[in-house]
Amino acid sequence: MIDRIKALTERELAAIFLSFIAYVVGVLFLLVTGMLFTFETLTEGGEATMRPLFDHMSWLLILALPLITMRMISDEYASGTVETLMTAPVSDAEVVLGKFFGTFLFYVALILSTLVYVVALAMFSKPDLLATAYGYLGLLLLGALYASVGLFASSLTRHQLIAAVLAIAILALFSYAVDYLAMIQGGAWRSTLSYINILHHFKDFSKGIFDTKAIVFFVSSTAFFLFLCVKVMESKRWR
Amino acid sequence: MAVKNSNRATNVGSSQRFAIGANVLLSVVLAVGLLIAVNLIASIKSYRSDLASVGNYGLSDRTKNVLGSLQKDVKLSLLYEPDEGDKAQQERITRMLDYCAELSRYSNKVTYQHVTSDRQRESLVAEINKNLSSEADAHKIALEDFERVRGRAEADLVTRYTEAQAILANNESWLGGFPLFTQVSLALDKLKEASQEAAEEIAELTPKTGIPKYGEAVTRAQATVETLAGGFSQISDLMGRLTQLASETSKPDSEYIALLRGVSTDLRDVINNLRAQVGPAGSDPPSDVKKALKGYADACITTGAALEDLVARVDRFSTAFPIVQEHENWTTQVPSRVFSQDVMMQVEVAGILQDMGRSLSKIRLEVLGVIDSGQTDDLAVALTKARRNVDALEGYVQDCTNILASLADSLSSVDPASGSLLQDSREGGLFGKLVDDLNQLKAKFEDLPELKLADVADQLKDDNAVVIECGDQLRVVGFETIWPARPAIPGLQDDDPAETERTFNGDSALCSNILSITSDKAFANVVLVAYEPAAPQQQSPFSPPPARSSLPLASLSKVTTTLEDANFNVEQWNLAESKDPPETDNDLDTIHIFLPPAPPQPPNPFNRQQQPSPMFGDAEREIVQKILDDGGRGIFLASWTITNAPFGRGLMASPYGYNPLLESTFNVRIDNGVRVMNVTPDPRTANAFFINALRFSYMPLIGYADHPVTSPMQGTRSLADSAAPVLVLDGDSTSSDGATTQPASSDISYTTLLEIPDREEYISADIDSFIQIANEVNSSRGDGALNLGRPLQRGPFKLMVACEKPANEDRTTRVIVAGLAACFADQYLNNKVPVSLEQFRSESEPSENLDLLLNSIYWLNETPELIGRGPVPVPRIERIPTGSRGYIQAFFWAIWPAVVLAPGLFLWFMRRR
Repeated sequence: MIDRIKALTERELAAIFLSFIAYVVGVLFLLVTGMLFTFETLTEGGEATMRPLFDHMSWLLILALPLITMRMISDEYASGTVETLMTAPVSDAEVVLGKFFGTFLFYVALILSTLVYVVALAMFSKPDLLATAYGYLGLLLLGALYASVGLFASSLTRHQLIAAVLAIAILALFSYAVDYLAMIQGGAWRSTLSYINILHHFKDFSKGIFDTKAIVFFVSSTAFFLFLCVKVMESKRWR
Repeated sequence: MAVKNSNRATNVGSSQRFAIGANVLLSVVLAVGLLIAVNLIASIKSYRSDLASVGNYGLSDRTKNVLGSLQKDVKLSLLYEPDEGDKAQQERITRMLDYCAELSRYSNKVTYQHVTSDRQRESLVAEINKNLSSEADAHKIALEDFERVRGRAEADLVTRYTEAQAILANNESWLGGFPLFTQVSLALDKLKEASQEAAEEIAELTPKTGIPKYGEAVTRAQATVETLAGGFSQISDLMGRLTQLASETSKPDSEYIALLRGVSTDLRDVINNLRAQVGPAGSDPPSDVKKALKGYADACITTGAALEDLVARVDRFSTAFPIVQEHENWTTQVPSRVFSQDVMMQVEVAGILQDMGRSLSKIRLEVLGVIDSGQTDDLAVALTKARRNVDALEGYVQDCTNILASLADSLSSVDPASGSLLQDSREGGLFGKLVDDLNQLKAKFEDLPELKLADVADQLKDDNAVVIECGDQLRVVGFETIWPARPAIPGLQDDDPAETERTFNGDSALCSNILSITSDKAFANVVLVAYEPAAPQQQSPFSPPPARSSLPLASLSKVTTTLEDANFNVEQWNLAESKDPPETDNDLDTIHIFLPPAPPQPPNPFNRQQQPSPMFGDAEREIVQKILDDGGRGIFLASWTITNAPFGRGLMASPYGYNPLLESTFNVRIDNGVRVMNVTPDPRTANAFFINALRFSYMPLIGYADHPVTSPMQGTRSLADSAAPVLVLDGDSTSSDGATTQPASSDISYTTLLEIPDREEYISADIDSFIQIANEVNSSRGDGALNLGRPLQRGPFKLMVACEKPANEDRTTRVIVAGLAACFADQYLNNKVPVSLEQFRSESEPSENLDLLLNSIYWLNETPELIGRGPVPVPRIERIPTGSRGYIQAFFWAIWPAVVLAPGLFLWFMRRR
């Protein structure tokens, strides 16, 4: 099973690296974060912390990752290669996990390219490296969740654009919409809505606060959306 | 059949799809359930820890300790007004909310609420009002009493003012003859207005809905009571005197009216005598002019004596009733010459009579001179002059008789309106009862207890404040406490930013207050030990002014309030008044703060025999030594202090009274003749520097050690004035009495808490250098750069040293010696810190200095866990070379994205081929 997932991951990773859109997204992501970094973070007298940039990245990735994942499964439907996949000796779960890890590894590469900001920061001050590393861990978990949501959205439709919009909508719902609702609600509703807010949990990582609750949230939510994705794939067989 | 089979197949497919679908649905539901369950368990059994070593968002260990031992519920209310356009405000709100969420997560005893809208603020105010009500019961009652008395006073004032106006409208009224009465009428009106204004202000200060400011309202009422009582007393006194006068003059057989009339009649007789000697004006001169003039000269003597008698009679009246001099007819206008100008002067009758006497005396001498000369022509001229003089005197006499007659007439008849008012004044005074009531109120106000929550109302108006409630206790932690100013990095372009940079100190500030209001017992006794001899009652103008401590007890109200707020019992002990310590709670440890004793009084150069003033000496040091020997804990404070040397021999350092004790006990002393200063080095010339006016009195303190007392101060703004270095003596050092000290004994341990490092912008100046610097500054030559022609002493400078020494088997004597006394004085802590002279901009008061004192006390009390420490400030980005900035931007905006894009383009190109 691992070998099959590994093979599928390699295939997906190669597909991403060979697709021009991934590079466009990557370059745009680096351009925007580079600007934010030089304008907001690397300023004389400013605090030597990556936290504001992490917070910016968290919303930027809501737009970026669905663009990477949008074609993952919907393109298989559109091009008809899904039939080949379904008849191949791999399970739906293996297919989904292969695509997920492929996307995730690309995302890791993208995030690693932002380590250059930490280097620049360290040249002019002494940033808290442990808190920064923990922030990067948060970014990885956040990316994993975004990727799983993107895959799930991609599994729902054969149109890439709709998949992207759907993923962005789901992510926006679980970040900004619930944040707004939490603001206007009180009591238990506020707590519940705050809890299902993705960015609320990510803030703990950007602040350097280790909280098992946030880790469980990201891991379980990622697993849940991957599970949904598998179920959607499965449903294609009997529908 | 096929159809049938087909139907069957369809039925089977449908049921299979239904079964699979149901299975999928069930598994999804189970997955959702599992997701919820996992997250629910994770949220109940979560582990949370702050990994950041700087800029922490989590709770400090101290806060966790405090929260862990909370027995009572604590409610926090965050007062803020969301402002989308203010990014800094948004960040502060977010930070505070995050912090409160952390508190609430850690302890279920802590709850917090947002107070963002006016409605929410009002309901908070109403809630707090309940707490205030019970504390301010006595104040409320006093204010109600005040309102009752004030109401009566206002009614009386209105009545009396109306009466006074009616009297003044009548030109013939008895009281209207006194211009002073117009002022009485005006005073009545003003008092009425003052009373009404006070009522309005007090009503505003004590609204029915909102937080009443009982403290301020009582202060306002007190001022009004003073004004009313003072005004009533003055009016009553004046009216009393008028009443006495009226009682006398209105009598049909009034002695003084008869006196006035008598003077008037006698005055005519006196002048007739003179006229008889010289003859009428314009008539032929008598045959014997000389004889006539001689008779005139003799008559001048008798007339002068008669005038003196008349003056004495008039004075008798004004002495018996001085108020009569205020009558409009008591004086008249007479022409006079002042500096060659004709002016009309207001002169009393007695004054006119005195002038007449003087002129008679003068002319008599002239006449006698002429008689002695025997010149016939001169005699004729003298006669003419004498006649003119008598003419003038007759004119004056006419004026005087008119005045006296008019005065007698107006004083003798009292109109009914004046009579009625005077009658009221006679019977117990106009406002006698009111004045009594006001005096009672005054005494009541003075006995009112101090309101601890007096300034809550004002604080609640501020945004970004936090209200902490615990039972009936309440504290408001203000914005400046939670967000103190952060020191700017010297040399950066934004060294003078438009808005003060601030750092988050919420953990320390809120925790301190939570700790304070939830503690049932004080942490320790703090005794402020001073030596302040009483000033001599009769100070000779030639004596030098009495010597004063550089940090007198009277200037420590801010320190006292802070310590009391932090839950310490604070007492004062003036060693010059009592050798016995003040009574303190014996169950608590006592920390002494030894203030710089008043230096010895300089000798009086004009009276060397004078008894020397009492001065701090061995007797006082023995008392302190005993405290230290018993394992006492204390802080010795001193600062740079220079004074005039006796007999004009320039300046000298004021001896620091505790130096001999510190040297013998701990081998340390404070060199209070040396001032540590912050200067701006002149990069063009060696040893030259500029004095930064802003940093002369507000020297930024750097070099805090990693010690429980000082590590929380790192990165926070703390400022000093008149800082003096602390010297840890070794065998090579010279003590204050000139003797070489022994090396520190091995049982003493020293910890340097604050040491200004060796940096070119920190120098020290002894008295000679300081005088030279002052002279250079005053001369204002060139571009302001000062060059003393020699290098000044550079750091490191120890400004704060902790010393420990075993006192006995169980206890260690522990002291902190600091050359920072001046930065704990009220005048330093209560003034905003100027940051830009050009823009008149200033920052908040340097209240951070108090944290240093508080931390020292916690450490001395062996409760370092109570020392508040804000998050370690995040290191800041230092200067980026101007040239590098462009490269950095080019790299992040173009080169790095291009490096990432390049392989993509290459692959894309290869695939197309």
